[in-house]
Amino acid sequence: MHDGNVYVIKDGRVEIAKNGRQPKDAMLFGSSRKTPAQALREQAERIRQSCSFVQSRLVLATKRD
Amino acid sequence: MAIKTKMFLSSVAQDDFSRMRRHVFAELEALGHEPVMFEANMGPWTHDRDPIRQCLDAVRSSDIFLLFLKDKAGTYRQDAKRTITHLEFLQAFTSQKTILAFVDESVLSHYFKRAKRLIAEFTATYLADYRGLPGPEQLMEELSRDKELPGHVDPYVWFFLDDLVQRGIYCEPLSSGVSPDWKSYFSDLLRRGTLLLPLARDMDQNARLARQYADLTELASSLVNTLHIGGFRQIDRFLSVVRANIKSGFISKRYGEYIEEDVGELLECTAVTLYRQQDGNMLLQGKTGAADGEPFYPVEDQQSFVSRSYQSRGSGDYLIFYKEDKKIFYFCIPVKEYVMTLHFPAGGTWTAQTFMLFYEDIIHGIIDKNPLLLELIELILGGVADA
Repeated sequence: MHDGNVYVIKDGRVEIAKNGRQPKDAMLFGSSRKTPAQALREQAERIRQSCSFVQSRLVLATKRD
Repeated sequence: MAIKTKMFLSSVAQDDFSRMRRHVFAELEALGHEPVMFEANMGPWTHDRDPIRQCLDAVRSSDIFLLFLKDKAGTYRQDAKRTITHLEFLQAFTSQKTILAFVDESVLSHYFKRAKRLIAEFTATYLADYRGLPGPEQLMEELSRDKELPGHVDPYVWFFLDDLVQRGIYCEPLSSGVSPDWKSYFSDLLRRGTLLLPLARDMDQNARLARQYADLTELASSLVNTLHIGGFRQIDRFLSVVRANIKSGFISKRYGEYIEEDVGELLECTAVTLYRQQDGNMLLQGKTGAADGEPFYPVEDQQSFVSRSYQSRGSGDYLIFYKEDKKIFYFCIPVKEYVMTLHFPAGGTWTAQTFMLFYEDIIHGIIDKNPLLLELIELILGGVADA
């Protein structure tokens, strides 16, 4: 479905919306491949990286020779 | 034994900086720190060692990055589209070093009085025309045409300064011939550090908990995927909880790492509906809030966003619909036989044109604000549909 196009539903027909000049009552729609699972994975990865960084700094900040 | 603080001195190789660099180096050394400076103690320089790489490594192994900036930009690297001093700064920033930036007071004053606004205006025009950020060369060309900026300042200096400011680096004005009051700076740094150091155990504990949260969200997704879920006990209550917890707000478009533009606002979710396909029709299963949809739509109904979303099920796509006369966005989640729709009124001045430009940013914005809740909804609907 996701093809980078915006579609418009007019009079029961679906067509590619070529520009923003559409009737006010027209229904526009588009889609995206991004999923919550993907967003969660990215968030989890960021959290892990940040935790590792904070903990490695804590080791350096509290160590004594 | 105490470990000395390693401080990297970064500046353009500019004649009137040489004396100051030597002076600062000596001052820092006298205060008991370990200054690092290209011309003083960064050797030995062997033929197989790239000097830029050596500088960047020295930045990475330092504790504090001291930047001095005046009217000269220094050597511009075409491959990196940055000067070497700028690359050193970027290394310090990405390595999350403490950065102290000192900028000639006259240059800093001209930046805030004029260059900052010129860069913002040129960037905004460029964004509107090309949907991307201008590079340093386009910006330098534009800034070099300005007659009110002092001609002796290299245009790249404005670009560099703007990068510092955009990244939230505080720039201290540097008067000619006056050395910074290092004792005060380091006393302030000591104060800030000593506020945090006693919290080291709490920070460590919080980092462990955050990692557990990251693990749990991924584990929950994997485990719920393996279940059959019996069905809804209180469907309207389920939808009410979804509606109360879904987050809306400003939708922004990102350009690069630090620039983002708010393109519009989604107001608080006003309604949630749930339809299920049965015998060629999408039947309303429950709703909460101000939804005025029909009790059913034929699956082939092209006018209905519920039917339209159902037709795209299995593609893994989320859909966003917009009606300008109602000023409402309909965010549809098609999962197997179900379609859940979240209704968000459009805040501000959304039009068909802006919807066409930013529809993917709207979908990404909703997902990024609600990843856990949407993932849970998808898993539950998938589990219920299989029951």
